[in-house]
Amino acid sequence: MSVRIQPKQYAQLLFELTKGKTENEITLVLSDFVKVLRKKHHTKYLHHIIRLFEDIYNKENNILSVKVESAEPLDAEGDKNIADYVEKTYPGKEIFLTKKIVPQLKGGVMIRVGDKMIDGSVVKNIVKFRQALRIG
Amino acid sequence: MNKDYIIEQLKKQIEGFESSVSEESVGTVLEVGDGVARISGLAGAMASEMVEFPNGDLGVVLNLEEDQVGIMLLGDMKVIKEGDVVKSTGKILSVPVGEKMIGRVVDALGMPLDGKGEIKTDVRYPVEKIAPGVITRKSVHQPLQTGIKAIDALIPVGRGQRELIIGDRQTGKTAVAIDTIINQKGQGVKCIYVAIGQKESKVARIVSMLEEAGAMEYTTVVVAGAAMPVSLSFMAPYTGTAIGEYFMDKGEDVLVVHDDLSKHAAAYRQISLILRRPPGREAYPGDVFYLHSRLLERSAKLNEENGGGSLTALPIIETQGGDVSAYIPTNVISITDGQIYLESDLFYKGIRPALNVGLSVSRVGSSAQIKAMKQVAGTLRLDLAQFRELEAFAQFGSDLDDKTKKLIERGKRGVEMLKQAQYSPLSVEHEVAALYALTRGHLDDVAVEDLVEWEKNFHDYLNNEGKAVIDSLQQEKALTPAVEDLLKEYIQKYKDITAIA
Repeated sequence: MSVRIQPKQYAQLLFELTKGKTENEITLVLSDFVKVLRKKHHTKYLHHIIRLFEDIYNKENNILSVKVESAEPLDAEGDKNIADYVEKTYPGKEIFLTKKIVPQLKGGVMIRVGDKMIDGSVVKNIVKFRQALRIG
Repeated sequence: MNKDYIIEQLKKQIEGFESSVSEESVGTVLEVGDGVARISGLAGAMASEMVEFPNGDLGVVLNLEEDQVGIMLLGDMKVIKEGDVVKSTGKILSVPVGEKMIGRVVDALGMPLDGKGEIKTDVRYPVEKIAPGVITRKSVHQPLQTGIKAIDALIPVGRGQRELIIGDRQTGKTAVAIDTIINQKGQGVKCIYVAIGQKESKVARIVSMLEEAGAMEYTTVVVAGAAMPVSLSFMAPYTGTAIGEYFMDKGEDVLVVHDDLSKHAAAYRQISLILRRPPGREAYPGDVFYLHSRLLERSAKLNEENGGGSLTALPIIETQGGDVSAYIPTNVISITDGQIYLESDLFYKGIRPALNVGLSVSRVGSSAQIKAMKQVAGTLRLDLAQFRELEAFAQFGSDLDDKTKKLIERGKRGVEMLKQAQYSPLSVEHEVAALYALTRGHLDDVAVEDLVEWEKNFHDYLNNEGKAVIDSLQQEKALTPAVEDLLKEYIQKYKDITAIA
């Protein structure tokens, strides 16, 4: 009886295979890795594996991935404020910031760190305001 | 003239609004399909917690796994895509409840389906609630009259009881439940009819029937149609019970009909299998028993300190080919306080309601019967049982002794008397009067074929000339010698009239 290999195990495996390797070696490992996936018909898990790999990689290297979404590009002061805030709340982590422009937010920012999200967008406030008016 | 006032009010509200930013727990959709979504993240999610999708649709957390959660979608799954952000709400799913729900047709989330506009209630009840405990309960002691002679006499239902209606397809299960709802008119009982996975055409017919009978004035219909997401079929009975609990907590009496729980179990099976929970007997998951027991345990008769309200449940189960030993029927039979067993053989023989008197039982209802009914029904069950035993004999020989002949004749009249047309529930006084005539032998000289006509006219006669009998029965609630004499007198008078005619 063969036990199905879980995406999490694949991700762990990938991390261990690529740890401390040079770029050329990694390319080789990756092509072999994909071959195995295809042989086992597990290519459908690729998205999931990549996500889990990211998690493992970040955890092992003490990296904190922070996603910032805003309606317009932030100015220098805004950037600094966010960076300061994240550093204060998660001390001792290497912070990896990705920024994204989402016009649908209308204004304000939305910060996402792992499973936590701080929604300070205008859209969110409009929704809240609508609810408050309805109840009152 | 009100312009300034309105502006003033608006200003006040806007001033009161505080824009605050808080940290939320979120997850990402991994895959969606067949009414179920798998989500990574959402650390700290709780079982049966409500989650929100970006388009405002809701979901319920059912599976908590090592690195993902399984969620049952309550809305349209087509608009949800991989990578969507899901927020946890920290709340359990709730539905609007209140007086405004009465007379409405709603879906499993309490949203109106009848086009009569928004339902404005301030109160919401959680769909899942722990059933009332031992100390808050009282034993069942008030009758819930179904208006069906056979049931009120032989398998009485009490307020706060759970009585299962079980039978094959096309045996009149829904008819029994609908007649019971119609008969609650003027009895101060709020009714909730929960349609689970049914054809919308059937539901529409039932609603129009209830409207015609004036029953929608005290009834709410909860619909989870066959075309709606299966998760709504799963939620509907809990929603119906939550709506009922509001009235029970206020000290009122409530009747909830679950039509039917076989489809509810099938809906739960579908969701469970898609969530990859291991299948058990008949592919149902291991916790179907708990699924129904936690629902039906919420029916209760509360004691006076807790308002004295009650919630009666009439769950319906459809059997396949009369097999009551299948998984779901045995489960629900063991949970409920008795069952009304309907048979297709009887139905085709013309015995409607197609009640199998021998197999139907009510475990607690007899203590809720009014005294007069006990007095007339006591011998009826025995008469019928003896009749069934002798019936087979009677078909062979004609040389039976007088006593046996008499028993058979009485039995035939008993079976005939327990027939009743649909949508014609009777008041308990009329039931007692008719059954009195039968059990005390006043009908032995009426031909079996004429009995239906005889009874129909007898009720009309009692309504017109015999008001005194009905009134005294209503007052005494027992067959005191005085009432009995009066009843005898009017039966004789009626028989004299029919004899002349």
